[in-house]
Amino acid sequence: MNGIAIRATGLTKQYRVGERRQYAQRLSDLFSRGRGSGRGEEFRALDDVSFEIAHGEIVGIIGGNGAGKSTLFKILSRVVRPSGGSAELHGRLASLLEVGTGFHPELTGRENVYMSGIILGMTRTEVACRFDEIIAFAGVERFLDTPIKWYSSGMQTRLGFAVAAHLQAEILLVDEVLAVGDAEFQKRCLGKMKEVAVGGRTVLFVSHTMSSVQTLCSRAIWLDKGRVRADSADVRQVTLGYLSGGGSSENP
Amino acid sequence: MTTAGPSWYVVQTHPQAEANPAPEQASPAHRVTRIVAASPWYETGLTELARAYELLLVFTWRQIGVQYKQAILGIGWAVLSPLMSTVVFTFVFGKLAAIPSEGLPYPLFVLSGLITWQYFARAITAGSNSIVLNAHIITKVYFPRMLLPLSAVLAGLVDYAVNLVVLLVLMIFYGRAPGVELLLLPAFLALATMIGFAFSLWLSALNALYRDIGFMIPIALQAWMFLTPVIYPTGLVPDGWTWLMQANPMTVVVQGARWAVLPDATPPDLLGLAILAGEFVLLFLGGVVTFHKIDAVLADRI
Repeated sequence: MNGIAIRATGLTKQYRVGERRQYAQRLSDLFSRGRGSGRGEEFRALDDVSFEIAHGEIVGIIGGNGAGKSTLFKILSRVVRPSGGSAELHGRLASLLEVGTGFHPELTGRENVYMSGIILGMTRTEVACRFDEIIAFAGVERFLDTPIKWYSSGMQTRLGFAVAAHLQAEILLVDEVLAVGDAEFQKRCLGKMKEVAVGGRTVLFVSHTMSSVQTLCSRAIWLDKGRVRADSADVRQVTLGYLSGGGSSENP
Repeated sequence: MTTAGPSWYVVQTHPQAEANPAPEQASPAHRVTRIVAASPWYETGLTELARAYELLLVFTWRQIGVQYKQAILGIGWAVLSPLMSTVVFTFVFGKLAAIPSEGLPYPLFVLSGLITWQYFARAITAGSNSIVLNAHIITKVYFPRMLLPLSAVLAGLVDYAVNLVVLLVLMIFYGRAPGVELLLLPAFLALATMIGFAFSLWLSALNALYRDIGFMIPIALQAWMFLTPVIYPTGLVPDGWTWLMQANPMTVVVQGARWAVLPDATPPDLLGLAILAGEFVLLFLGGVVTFHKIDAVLADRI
């Protein structure tokens, strides 16, 4: 189980904090060259972030709001592009940033499982192989051919998580908010995450719950204002450090 | 926007590993994805063909499947809508204005042009909305974004097929049969699809940044239809204005598709076809470059 799964080198993401422009300004922007230059303040959501993650590692990413956790995930899942630096992914990556990506309310549970599974990176055959498992996990067997707009929101969430939990990828980016629903289902979600972790896959896990980071992860990376504040296999140490001194980025 | 156009670049070192049925068991890398700050414009992601193909099916199917949901008539609207227009156009332009129709019954003349035009108009409308409508997916997961306008354009073929059946029924009613020219119909449809897709590349990307595009399109399409020989034959156009007909790529497409079904109609103009080819190449390449540029900032700015 060695070899690099993810190598990030100097990842940087810059945004310009702009105010909404007036109508006349927007029109003149359209016709002026080099538009957008010189307005707004620059802001680095990620600032020179580097790390290497080996295959099979379960890494907890912690940090306050605005620390850059989601930006990091979005760059690694290729949703947004870095402004500088680079990253290298070895293997297929699936990112679970929300439950039910690609669901359409008008389509049935069955159709949505296929659609979401394929959009999230599975092949059709892979979805077909796991279909019964997914449905059983979500517990919606009786409503397979009902449009999901008539599902309760709990059922929709369970179905979304079930698809996500059965993704076939070597690298998984998981956001903790995925573990939703009633207490019983939450327990099953966390159980499933553990199972995934034991399966030898590489997992990056964003969480605000230090206890689940401590039980699930073999390493923790603490992001603060877009920079790596700590990165260590001593998960307890990092989480304690975050709890005591952290939070600095929560009140910018 | 930030500094110089940031983007990523994908290198697939072992594409055959895509087909590996049990990837979860093998932890060594199947392929390497590099995420860096610049990629060439021709890097569309469509080269990951196996995945792109399945996604194209999914997006097209989604578009088709959702279209007539919760409508009692469902696909019946694809029968009614061109029929209604045919009735109105026949009354106004065929009867009141007495516009000639190349020796064909006016309803056949207009319907045969209309279904081609409507396919194209649907392609442009759905294509240009495709990015905005799927913003919630774009901001959550990566896939070749070009698949969205492409699937939106292709989904219109279902309605076209239904429209074509309506036309064939009307032809039986008027005792007209198509000839061998019918074999060329797919070629003209392909042209409509290609032009529709090329425009959709521009419009879907621009619409994501400037929603003005969405307001502009219905107005532009309406004007464009009247500049295309849908309700009148090209023979009616005065000599000084034939250049306008020839410059319009849809002239030869609408004419060609009509002639393929009704061989008595005017055959497509070869010069027009050549002009269309040139226009398509420019439009398509420009579209790919524009789309690629906007794609780089899409999830940040949509």
